[in-house]
Amino acid sequence: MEFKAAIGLEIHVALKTKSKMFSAAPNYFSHEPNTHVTVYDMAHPGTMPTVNAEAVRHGIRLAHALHMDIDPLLRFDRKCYFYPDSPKGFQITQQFHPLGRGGFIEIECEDGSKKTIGLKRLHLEEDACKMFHRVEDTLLDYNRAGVPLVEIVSLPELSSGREAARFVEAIRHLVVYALASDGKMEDGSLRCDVNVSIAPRESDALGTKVEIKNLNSLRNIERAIDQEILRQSELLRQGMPIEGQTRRYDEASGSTKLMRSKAEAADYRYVPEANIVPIRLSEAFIAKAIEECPELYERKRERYLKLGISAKDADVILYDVAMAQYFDKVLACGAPTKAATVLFNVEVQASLHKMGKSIVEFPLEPKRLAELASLQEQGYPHQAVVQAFHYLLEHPKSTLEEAQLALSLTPPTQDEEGVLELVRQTLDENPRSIADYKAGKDRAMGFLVGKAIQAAKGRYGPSDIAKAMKEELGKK
Amino acid sequence: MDEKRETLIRLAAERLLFDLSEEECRILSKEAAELEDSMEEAAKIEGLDDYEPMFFPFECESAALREDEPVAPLSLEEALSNAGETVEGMIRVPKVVER
Repeated sequence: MEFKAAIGLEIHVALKTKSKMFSAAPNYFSHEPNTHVTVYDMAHPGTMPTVNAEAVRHGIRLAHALHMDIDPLLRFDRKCYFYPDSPKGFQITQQFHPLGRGGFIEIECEDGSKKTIGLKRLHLEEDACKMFHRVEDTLLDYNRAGVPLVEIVSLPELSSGREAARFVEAIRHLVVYALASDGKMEDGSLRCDVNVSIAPRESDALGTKVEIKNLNSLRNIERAIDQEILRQSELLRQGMPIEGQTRRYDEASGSTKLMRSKAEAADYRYVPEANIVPIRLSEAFIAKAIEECPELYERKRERYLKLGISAKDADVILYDVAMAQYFDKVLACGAPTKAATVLFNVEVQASLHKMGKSIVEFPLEPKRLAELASLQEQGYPHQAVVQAFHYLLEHPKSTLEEAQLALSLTPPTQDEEGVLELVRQTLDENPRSIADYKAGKDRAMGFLVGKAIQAAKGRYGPSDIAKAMKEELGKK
Repeated sequence: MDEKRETLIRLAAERLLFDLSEEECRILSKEAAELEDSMEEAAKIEGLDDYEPMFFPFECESAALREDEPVAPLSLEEALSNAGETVEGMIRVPKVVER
């Protein structure tokens, strides 16, 4: 029997704000436990929650980018449970009135086509504390308690582990480029639970839902789902029912393991949060939040492609939002796109790798890189530009002129006769390449231009040499 | 009834770690009695179950949101002052998972 899978995801995104969701305690990582808490985070009696405006703005931006309907009346609820990770005995969330409803996101399929995945809701809530389970006891660090979270819930419209991983990647791109979150799965700032159900291919009904909790990498999401589909298919083939369960993915065995059955599921006794009066968000507040959203991943990628950057190069730049921000500054300084892309994706990336630094620590200002890229446009050989790049890297306070002086880099001459003589000499020395070119081997042209550039030793610009070579070869 | 109410208030205060003076207990007891009376009166109204419960009498405006400015947190000593037992700056509790 053939089966089809229906997969839905719940993604928790930790928001990048200065303070927590319902208290003004600092919201950034600390190695010292329990040092980023206020009396509210420790649930001291009489303390009251206050709603972080920036977290709400992030929520609005994400809901808007996901084409959702935004509820202008901000309301919160309590999810009641007794567990040491929440000293209040409840989590503040938006069970009944999420900030965003509906919406969709597009993901790219294996064959390059697009698939639209429907969304159910987006809501704001607070994180719980971090627990360290030891052999004898559990230790609690409340620094994470109260960190603002956005939860995004999809409809069960994904059909494989690969699709689910692509969905999470698309959400990660969105939250990272909206500057709403670091989106680092390895650090827990983006966490994922998945719901998997399967049914006979011809059936319209969904099968029994099994939840897999706390998946922390794209690879594990894909593997866990595919393994769970296999497990459920095997049960159905044997005539066994699928039980509603919560499971976890065990990396070592590559399979999902039972955590609890749905019969053991907790009753969270949701009630409206009495300590936060509903807040009517003004049209101006919502509009401003949306307007201030930075350029998002997809739009930036489209812009790069329109500028003539290859998809491969664009993906290298977009791998890290800070790199894309740096690259945009280089372009904003007037750098020619092609030369800037080559410098950035080859020289800058290699230098960062060698230095073991991130782009935010890169010693060269974007303006300096733009100047270097322009140098190439002016006809300087690539090698000369690379030399200047490395000089400036070692002397970041130097100007480009100082680098040129130190390296004795002179501007390429506009000596047309000289270029022509060099090209003719190169052709005379390589009659076989001429024959290859005439026989239709285009690579021969590249070979001859390369030989001529080498022989020029920086006297003439590569573009002038290439142009003359094409003309002279045409006459042969 | 007053005595029972006051006992309940003292018990609640103790559990919530509030220091409550005799005078404060009397005031709270009086206010609680008034609330009880009001609820008894409200319960006499016919057809109440036909209405959706209203949790808030009014709404706030966007200005009620807190701007994202962090404040100085508690010192570690203050943060842990109610903890029964601590280990390396963390609160120690009985093991809560079986794995």
